[in-house]
Amino acid sequence: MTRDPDDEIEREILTHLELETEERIAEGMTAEEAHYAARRAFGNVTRVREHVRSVWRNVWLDDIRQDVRYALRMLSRNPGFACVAVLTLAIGIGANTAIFSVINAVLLRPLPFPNADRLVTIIENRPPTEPFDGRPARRAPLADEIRALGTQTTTLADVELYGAAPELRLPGREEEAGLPGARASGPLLTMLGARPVIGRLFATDEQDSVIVLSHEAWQRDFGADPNVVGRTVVIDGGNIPALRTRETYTVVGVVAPGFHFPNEQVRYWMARGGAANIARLKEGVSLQAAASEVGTLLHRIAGKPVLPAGSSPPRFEVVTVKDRLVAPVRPALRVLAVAVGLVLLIACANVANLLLSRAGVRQREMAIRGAVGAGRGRLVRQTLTESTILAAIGGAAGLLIALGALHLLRTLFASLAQPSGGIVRQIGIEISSGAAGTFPRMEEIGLDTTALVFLTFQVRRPPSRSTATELVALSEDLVSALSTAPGVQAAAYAAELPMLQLRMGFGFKTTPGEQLPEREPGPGGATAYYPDVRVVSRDYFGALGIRLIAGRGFRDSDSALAAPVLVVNRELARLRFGGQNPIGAQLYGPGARPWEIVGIVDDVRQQAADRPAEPQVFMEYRQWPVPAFQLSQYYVVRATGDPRALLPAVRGALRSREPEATIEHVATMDELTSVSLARPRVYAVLLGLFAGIAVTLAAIGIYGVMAYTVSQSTREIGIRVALGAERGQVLRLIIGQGMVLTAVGIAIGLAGALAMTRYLQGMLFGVTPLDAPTFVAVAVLFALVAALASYVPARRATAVDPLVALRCE
Amino acid sequence: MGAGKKRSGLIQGTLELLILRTLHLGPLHGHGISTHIQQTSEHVLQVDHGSLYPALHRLERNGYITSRWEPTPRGREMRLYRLTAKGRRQLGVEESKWRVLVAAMARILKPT
Repeated sequence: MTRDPDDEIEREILTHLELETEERIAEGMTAEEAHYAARRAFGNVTRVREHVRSVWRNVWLDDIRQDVRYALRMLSRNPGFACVAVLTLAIGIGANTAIFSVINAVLLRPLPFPNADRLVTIIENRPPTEPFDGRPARRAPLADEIRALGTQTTTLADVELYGAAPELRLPGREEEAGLPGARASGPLLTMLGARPVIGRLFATDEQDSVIVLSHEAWQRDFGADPNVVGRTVVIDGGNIPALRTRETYTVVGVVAPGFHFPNEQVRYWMARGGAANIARLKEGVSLQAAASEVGTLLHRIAGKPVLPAGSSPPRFEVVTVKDRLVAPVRPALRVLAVAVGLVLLIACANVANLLLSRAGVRQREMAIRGAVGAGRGRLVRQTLTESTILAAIGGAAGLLIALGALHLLRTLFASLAQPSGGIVRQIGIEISSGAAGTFPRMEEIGLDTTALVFLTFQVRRPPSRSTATELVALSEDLVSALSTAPGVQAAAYAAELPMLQLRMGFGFKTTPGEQLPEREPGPGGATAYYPDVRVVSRDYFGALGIRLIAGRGFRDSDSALAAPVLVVNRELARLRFGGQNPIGAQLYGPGARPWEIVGIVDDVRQQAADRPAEPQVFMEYRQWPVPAFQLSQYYVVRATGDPRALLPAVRGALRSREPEATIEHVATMDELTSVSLARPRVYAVLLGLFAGIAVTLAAIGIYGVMAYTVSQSTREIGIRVALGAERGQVLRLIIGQGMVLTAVGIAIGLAGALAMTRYLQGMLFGVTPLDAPTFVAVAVLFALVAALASYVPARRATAVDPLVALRCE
Repeated sequence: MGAGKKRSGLIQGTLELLILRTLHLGPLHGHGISTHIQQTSEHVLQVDHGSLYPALHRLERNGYITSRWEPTPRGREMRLYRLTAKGRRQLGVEESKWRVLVAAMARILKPT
C-alpha cells in the first residue's frame, strides 16, 4: 500500500462503525445506544487497528523504533535515575576493564609463543648435604649436561640453551646503555615462532660470528636499513673484564615484529652459549613422564648420586615455563580476580536496585498499557528495550572511561612493563638491571635527600688481560681521584653481582659442618642464613651516608691477602645473634677461609616502611672469594648540586688515567629509583584502585536508590504536611527510616569484611585482620552518603506546596 | 482473534475461505462481508470484526483480493474488496482442502 495505511484503516473502521450504528438505529435503538452497541460489537478498536497495521508493516522494526523512542523519552524525563545508572555502569565497566587490562598485560601475559603450554625448563636442586660449589642451591644444570641430555632424551624435544649476551654498543652512543642481547640457537628461535623478515635465522650449530636483530632494533637503531644484512657490529665480551674480547659480528637477519625472547628488552640474538635451558614436551608426553626420564638421564650424565626416595624436592625437576612465571604471582592474581568480580557485582547490584525501584513505580503505567491493548510480550519487550538502551549508553561511556583510565595507568606504571614481564627474571638469568639493584635508594638510607645527589655510572675499559687485582687497583685509583674533585663529596663503587640467584645463594654457616636450613626455591627474601650479599669499596658506607653503629668499616688493610672480614647490618645481627655482640664472630661462607665480623652498620630500610630490613652482609671488593665470577663495578659519586655537572670532571679523571676507557650507563639516583617499582607496591596500588572504585560505586548506588525511594514518597510527605506535620518532623521521620536500613546494611557489610580479611590474611603478606581505621572510615562514609541521600530529596519534598505534592505521581 | 474463536469456533484459515467465497459473488465492503456471512450461515457464524479486517488485509497482501475506495449509492465512500484471478484460483484450492477435511471428519464420526 502506498497510501497512508493508518489513515485508511482508520477510515475503514469508522465507516464500518457507522454502518453498524445505522443498523441498530434501524432496529430501534437510540443514537447513543446504537453508537455504543456498535463499538462493543466491534471489539477493541485499537487492537484491531494495530493488528491490521501489523499485517502490512515489518512489525519488529516499527515496534522497536517505538520502544526505543519511548525509552529515550523516559530516560530524559528521569535524568537523575538515568545518570546514576549510566554512571554506575560506566565506572564499573570502564575502570574494571582498564585495571584488568593492566593485570593481563603485566601479570598474566601468556607466553607469546606457539605451543607455550609445552615449554618446560629443567632445574637442579642441590641438597644441603652437599658442599657449596659456587652455584646457588636451586639452579640450572650445567650446559654440558644439558647438551648431553638433548641427545639422549626421548620425552623432550628441542632441548636448548639460552642465556644473556653482552650489550651491543652502537658507535657514538657510548654513554647510553647498549642494546641488550640474548643467546639463543637457531632451533630455539624457530621453535618459539621467530620468523625472519629479512635475511635468515641461525642455522643449527651455527659457527660464524653472526647476530640476528629484533624488529624494533632494526627500525630504531639501524634505521630500518633494507641492506642491513652484512653490516658488522662490534660487541665487547661484556661484564667479565678479564675475558673481555672485542669481536666483530655480522648481521644475518631481522625477525618479524612482535617476537621477543626472553623478554621485551632484548634487541638482538647471538647463536651460541647460555646457561639457562628450555625444552619442549613431545606430543602426548606428560610432565611426569618427562620428569622421571630426565631425572634418570641427568643423574647418570652428571654423575650425581640419587637422593633417598621421597626426599623433596627431587634433585632434577622439570617444570613448565608458565608455572615458573605465574607461580609467584598466583595468590595475588586470585585476590585481584576476586576484586574485579566484586566491583562488577557491586555495579550490577546497583543498577538492578535502581531498575527495581523504578519498576515498582511504573506499575500503573504498565497496567494502563495493558488495558489499551499491549500484550504481555510487548510489555516485556518494552522494558527490555529500556534496559538495553541503558546498558548500551553505560557500556559506551564505560569504554571511554576505560580508554582514559588505561592511558592514566600506563603512565603510572610506565616502568612496570619492563622488569617484571619476561621469562628471564623468573628462571634465573638476569639481564642486568644495572645500578638499580646495587645501591639502596636515598630515602631508604634516611638521608636528607634535598641537598645531596648521587651520580652513578660504569666504566667501559677496552678488553685487556688485566687481572682482577689490577682492575681493582684502577678502580681504587679512580675513586680516590674523584673524591678530591671539586663538587664531589665522596666516591665509591660496588659490584653488580651477575646472577640474582647467585647473590642470594650464599649461605653463611656458624661452623664449617653446620647444616643450613633448606633454602626456599625461587628468588625470595634474604634470611639470616642466606643474607643479601653486597660487595663494596672501602668508602661505600661513607659515600652513601650509611651509619656505622659498632666496630669498624673497611680499611686499607683489608686486602685480598688479609683475613676476610664482613660488615653486617643491624638486622642480620639481630636475627643471627640475638642480643649478643656479633663482632669478632666468625662465619663460614663462600671461599676457603672463615669471615670475621668486624662491624655493624645501620639498616637500610626496605620498600615498605613496615617491613623489616633485609639482613645484609658487606664484603670488601678486594676480598671477593670467587674469582670465577668476576664482578663489574658501579661507581657512585655524591655531590652537591647538579650531578650531571660533575661529568666533565669524572671524564677528565678517567681520561688521565685510562685514556681508552669511556663512561657508560650514566644515571642519577633519581632516574634509578624511578625505574624500579617493587611488585608488592604494584599489588597494593591496584588493590587500592579497586577498593576506591568499589567504594565510589557503592556510594553512588546507595545514593541513587535512597534518593529515588525517598522522592517517591513525595506524595506521602505532601499528605503529612497538609495534615499539619512540621517540616522538621517529617524530615526526621524520612531520614530515620533511611538510616535504619543503612545501619543494617553497614552491619552486614562489616561482618562480611571481617570474614574476608581473615581469608586474605592467609594470601597476602602483612595484612592485619582488623584495620580499625578503614572499617570505621568506610562505615562513616556510607552512613553519611545515605543520610545525604535521604535528606536532599526529602527536604525538596517538604519545600513543595502540599497540593502539588499530592497531585504528582 | 480470540473472541472470534470463542464465538464461532472457526478453525484458522476458514475465515479467509469464507471471505473469498463471499467476494466470488461480487465486490463488497468489510461490513457487508461480515453481514453476508452472518446472514447466509443463519447466524451460526458470527464474524469477529477484530479478525475480519486483519484477514482482509492479509488476503490483499497475498494478492488474492484488491481494494478500492468507491462511492456508494448512499453517498458515503467505502472501501470495496474484489476477488482477483489469483484469488479465484486460491478459492478453488481452499474449497477442495475444506472438502477433504470434512470427509475425513465424517469418516471418524461415522456411526459404527
